[in-house]
Amino acid sequence: MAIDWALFQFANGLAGRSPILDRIIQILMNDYALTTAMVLVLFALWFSGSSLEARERNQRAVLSTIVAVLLANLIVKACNLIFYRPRPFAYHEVTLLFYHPSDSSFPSNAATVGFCIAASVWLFNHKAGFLLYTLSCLLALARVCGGVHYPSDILGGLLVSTFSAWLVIRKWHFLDRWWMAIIHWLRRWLLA
Amino acid sequence: MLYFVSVKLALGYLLFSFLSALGILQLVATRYRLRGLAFLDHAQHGAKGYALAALLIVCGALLFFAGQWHAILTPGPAGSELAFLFGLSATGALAVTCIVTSIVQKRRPGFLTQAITDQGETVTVGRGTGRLYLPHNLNAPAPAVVLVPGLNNNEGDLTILAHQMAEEGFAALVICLDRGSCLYPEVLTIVPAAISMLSKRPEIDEQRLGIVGHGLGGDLAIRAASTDKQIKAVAALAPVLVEVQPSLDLLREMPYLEALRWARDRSRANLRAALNALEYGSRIAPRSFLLLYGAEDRLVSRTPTEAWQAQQATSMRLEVIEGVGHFDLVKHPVAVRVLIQWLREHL
Repeated sequence: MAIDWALFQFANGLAGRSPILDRIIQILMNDYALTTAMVLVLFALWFSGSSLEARERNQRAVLSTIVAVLLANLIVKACNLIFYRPRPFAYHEVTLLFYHPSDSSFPSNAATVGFCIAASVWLFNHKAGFLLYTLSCLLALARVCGGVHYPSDILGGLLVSTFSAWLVIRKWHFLDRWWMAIIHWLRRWLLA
Repeated sequence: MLYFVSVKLALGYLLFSFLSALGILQLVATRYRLRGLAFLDHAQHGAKGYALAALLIVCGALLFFAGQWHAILTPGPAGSELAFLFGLSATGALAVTCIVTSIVQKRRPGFLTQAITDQGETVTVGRGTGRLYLPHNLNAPAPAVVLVPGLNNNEGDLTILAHQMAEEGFAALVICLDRGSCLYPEVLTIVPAAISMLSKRPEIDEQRLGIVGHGLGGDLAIRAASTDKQIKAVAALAPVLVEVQPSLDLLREMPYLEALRWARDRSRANLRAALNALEYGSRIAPRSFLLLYGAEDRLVSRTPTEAWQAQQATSMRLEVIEGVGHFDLVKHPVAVRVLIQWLREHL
């Protein structure tokens, strides 16, 4: 916990020093910018691929990602029911660049969604996965710098999301048949 | 239940995600040459598609973030509500893109776009008609080629090809197909009628008759040549041969609504099956047979066709023209050059 607090202090120490840096952190940490960018990558991935096989792999990645994100959110909800961790600003003097979220700090919801999208896509497409991991890391880092999460919240989100992606893609093989049925149906409408 | 916290913020996000999704669709349409999703024709405008995509995304982001900056840093819609809004925007953007591209995009003008003033001689071919293009300086009977269009109204494209052939010393007869004449088995009477008509013309060398078909017209050309020994050379340009499964790839060739109609056209699929050109194509040997495809053609299934070609006699030649799609093939200068050169050698 001491390391967690020390890392938080270091990251949050970047906030409040420069208006430009604060604005950059706010752009990165808000609920709309990077999350929408990641979903747009997924949207692009659906139509991407030089061959039918490559596109089918990308489309399976998109469908698997949706399920993995739903599962990860369920796990986060369950965690929140069992364990409530107050936000860093609740008991400490922090530089807050965002509004006061009232839900549990652990695990980070935004990091869970971001890393879950990245991990799911990475298992199918390393290039797009790397781009999504980069965006997720920026989001996670900005959330800590902005004062709404401890680094351990991000780590918790990373673990939950990686587990969800691994379970859905590597273990739930029955989903593949559903994905193929959906993709084949959409192909009839020239949408896959 | 959807609550959104702030309706203004939710509407702003809806617009932002709609414009961004439009931009992303333009990006992938340009990158993967999906002309059915592209507002700008990549063949003519190239990188402008990327610029348009960037413009849409940047405009969407600026409108939202600059316009509602303070609201963005306050509690807003929940994650599930944002997902709902994004889904709505993306679906809307896809629908708008498909409809707009179907309206604004005409078929590409193509590579050979010279105005054809010589409309040829209208001749009777069986129950239908055709247009005959003769070489200008005829000193001796000329070799002749019957040009069979597909069912996609590319008769105009074949007219350009016929004109080129006439300039190269070939007589070219373009068959005018109407929808009614494309029924099986009536369609089988067209080529014999054309060959019979050409054989009776004094300007034509009846020993040097060939046939060229495009698309499903290629299938018909193969089928006709398999039984008519008078045909000395057969060139099938992008024959369908094997039914291609509909997918997003069709949008590389045509706008969405046109592609959807093409995919659902059972009469085309039935005619292809009835013509069974794969089976009949094996009977053309030892006569010369050219299969010509565009590398970007998404209306034919090339893998089984190439496997079939590998099993055929050496008199069959396969040529693939890089960077050319289905409809462009008969207009592409490289394809036209290859075809005319091959006809010179084999007819």
